[in-house]
Amino acid sequence: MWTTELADRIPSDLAAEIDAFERQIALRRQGKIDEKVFAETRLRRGVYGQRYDNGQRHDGTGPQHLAFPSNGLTKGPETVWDAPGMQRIKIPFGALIPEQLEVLADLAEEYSDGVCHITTRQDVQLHYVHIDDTPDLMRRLGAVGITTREACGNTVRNVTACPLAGVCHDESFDVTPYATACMRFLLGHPDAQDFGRKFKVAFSGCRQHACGLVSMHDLGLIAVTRIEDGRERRGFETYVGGGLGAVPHQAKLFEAFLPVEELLPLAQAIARVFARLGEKRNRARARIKFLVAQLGLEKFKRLVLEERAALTPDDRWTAHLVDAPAFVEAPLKPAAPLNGDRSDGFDEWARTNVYHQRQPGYAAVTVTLPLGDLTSRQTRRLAVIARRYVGDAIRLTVEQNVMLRWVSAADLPELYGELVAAGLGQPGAGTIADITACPGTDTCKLGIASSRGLAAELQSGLAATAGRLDPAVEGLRIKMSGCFNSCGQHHIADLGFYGVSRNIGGYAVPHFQVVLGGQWVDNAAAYGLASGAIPSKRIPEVVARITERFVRDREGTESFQDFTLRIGKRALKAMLDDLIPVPAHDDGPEFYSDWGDPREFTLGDMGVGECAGEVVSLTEFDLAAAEAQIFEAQLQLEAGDAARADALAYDGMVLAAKGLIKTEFIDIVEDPDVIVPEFRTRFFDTELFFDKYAGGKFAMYLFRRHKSGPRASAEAAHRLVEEAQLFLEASHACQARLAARPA
Amino acid sequence: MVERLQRFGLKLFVDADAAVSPHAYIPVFHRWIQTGAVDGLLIDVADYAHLTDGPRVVLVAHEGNYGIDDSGGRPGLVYTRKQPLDGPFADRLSTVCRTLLGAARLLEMEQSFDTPVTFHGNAIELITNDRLLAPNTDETARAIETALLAFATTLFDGQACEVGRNTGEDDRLALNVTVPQAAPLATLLQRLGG
Repeated sequence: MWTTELADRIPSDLAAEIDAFERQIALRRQGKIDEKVFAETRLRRGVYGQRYDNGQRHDGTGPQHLAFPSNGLTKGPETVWDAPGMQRIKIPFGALIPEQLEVLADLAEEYSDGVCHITTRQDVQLHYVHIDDTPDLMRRLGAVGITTREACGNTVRNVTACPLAGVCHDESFDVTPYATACMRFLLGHPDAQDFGRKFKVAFSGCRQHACGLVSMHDLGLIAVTRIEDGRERRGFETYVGGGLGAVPHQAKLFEAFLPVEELLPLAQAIARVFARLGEKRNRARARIKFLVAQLGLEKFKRLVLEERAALTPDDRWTAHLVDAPAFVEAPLKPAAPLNGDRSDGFDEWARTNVYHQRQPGYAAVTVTLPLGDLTSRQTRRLAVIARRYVGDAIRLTVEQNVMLRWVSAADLPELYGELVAAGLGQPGAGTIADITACPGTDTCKLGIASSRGLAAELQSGLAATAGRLDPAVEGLRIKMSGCFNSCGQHHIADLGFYGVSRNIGGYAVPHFQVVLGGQWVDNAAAYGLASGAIPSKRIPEVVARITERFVRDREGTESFQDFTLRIGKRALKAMLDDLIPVPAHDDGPEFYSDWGDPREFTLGDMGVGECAGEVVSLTEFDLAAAEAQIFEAQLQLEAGDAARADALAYDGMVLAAKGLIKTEFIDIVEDPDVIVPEFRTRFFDTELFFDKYAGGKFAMYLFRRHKSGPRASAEAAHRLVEEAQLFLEASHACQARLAARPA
Repeated sequence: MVERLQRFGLKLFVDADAAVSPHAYIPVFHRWIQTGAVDGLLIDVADYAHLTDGPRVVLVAHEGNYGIDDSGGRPGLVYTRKQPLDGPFADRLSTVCRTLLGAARLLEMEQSFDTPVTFHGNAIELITNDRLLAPNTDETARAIETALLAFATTLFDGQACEVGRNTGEDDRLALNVTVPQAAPLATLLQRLGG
């Protein structure tokens, strides 16, 4: 078992979390956890749904039932247990080491389909994973320092940052240690567990580049410095309420200079305000951008600052930052200039894929990944290459590539040769051929059209023209999403596309909305607007026409954004009007299927997305956790460990009591000596916990055990396990009564 | 160890020069889902034609995946079992091989390809897919080789087998068996009782 094999390599708290998740899987199998609670529980561990997991698939002739052997067991609403799913793996600011790459490669082979996918938020995703494999998968990640905790669900998602942090010419300072501190502080923080939706944080070292995409984040931080008393002081230009999705919002400036020591308390205060006032019922308006818009920035800011002032000081606010000022990344090899022989293709590759760091003699190399994918074997070879040239200096990028930093410039030709041998030497990073695409209809339940299919088609066409494109066109960005939700970040591309459908003669036809004029630079400073839907199969022609016109009619060094504004939306649309008509089904059947998918196109495969997660109260989480503890107590009892069973049963009761207290007092601490009296005051003395027939009997089980302390006899432990189960049932009943009370 | 090994794959090879474009397999696999042409609960087709050195197109099924795969520069069809099978390892190996041969035969008969696909009827590779149970060590290799040779005796009608092993120590353990005389896939299938 991996549990045994890796016992001394996984941090104990993470191991306990994974064990608890495995117990929750077992409990769900027994029907002892509600499917909604279980769904949010697994989402918070990065275990995500995938297309067709409702057991239905349109095979091109009609909807077909996928007869998974699950016997009605689900892992969430309309989500069949045995249906394969996606595992999202959080990689904070995309930082990886070779050993982690190797484990990712192994996991992709053993539990997925042999491919690692890099996302637009510096995560790794594995698809077609069975939920029963996820605990072991998490253990193997945990053994190399990776957690999947809070990779999905209504939580603080992966903290992202510029992949060039620390080596960039233009940054104010290296944001890496601050992103690390933020990630560590917010991971599992009690104040970040009760959101109505997800919460995304991004760091950038400068204002002008796009690497951090601060303007499209819930909390965005740009490194700035100022001189105070003759000394340079570090801080962050702080933004809140940005986000893409169906309704994109530009983040608002919250604070022009937030001293670094205020970073964590402010993040905590924002989390508390979001948890308290953010929308919980209407998922479509539950992101913090809606709260900021609803309250207005000034009121939102006032509430956050009041919250900040009332926070109990926390040592971690500064402890996480102690080493930040001195943080430096040590290169593996000494700096040396580029010289010597260069193979064919090197110069073209170096032109687009090599960034000369501010540290002389070093370069950051972008490994271009088509559609953000690399096979397990390539992943493993990349680990070998990284170990040889850069050691631990690996980052994933928001453009779905990998960056190797601190390459000694003299090594570039040899490194290029090794990348080519691994099938990873493709040039064109950061060019129009380096297309970003979300999974779309390939695996996403919300996908309308095939973003990856279209991206592959465009990419192969554009890659064939590498080095021959007009420089004005080469520097453009194309990004696409399978639906309006913007996971492919289409709003911030020069040429953005998102999937829609049109009904033509009774048939569904895949289309893409063309989004023009988004701004990638300046941290995604402007969002493009939709300019009309074009049949999917004609999008390559759209790209050709618009780019040709840009080359022809561009004035001087005019940007693409300025060009689209000057030409005007009407004229641009007129250029594309003749591409809109779709031939009748019999005359042009190819229009009625999507790129890379020969099936007749349908919207019938769309399911309920899990991006929003399930809004599950903290009480429900605690009750589910209590259930797991008491279940484990039963197992320990069976194994003959009475003392352990006694302790677990007691812990389960305390957890359940704590969950109920949270309905009234969210800041209850973990200490049983505080929880039990609070429970007595709030639920026993008030008779809120009382059963219609049994009165307060079940509460007495907790009080007695709390007073008596541990009991080692098998008989006493057995009785306590039974009592704990009854206490838990009474807690559920109490929670149901509370929920049914008028608001 | 071998008796407990449930996650493994078998691969048949084609000539690298004669390999069909991976794109051509996508409509074929979709059609297989429509018609239930091969074993298993067929779910979807994953398109990785843009990649190299690994899966190029995968027909995902609940019990195991069918993959057009060019790992190590050796194109072929691999069937990787995911769900456990009953019976001793020898029986499970035979079951997995019959599933693989059944799919490979259909590809050889496929009319939509510009050039026909022909699998090597004198070689097969076993890829373990469980690093805990079957780490890539000499000890595991010896145990797997014994089982594989016993199986190959039936599959290749008692011909002398040449056994090769992959070299990457971080790769999954993979052993391949080659015999002098190739046989049609139908014959191989027949020898396994299929």
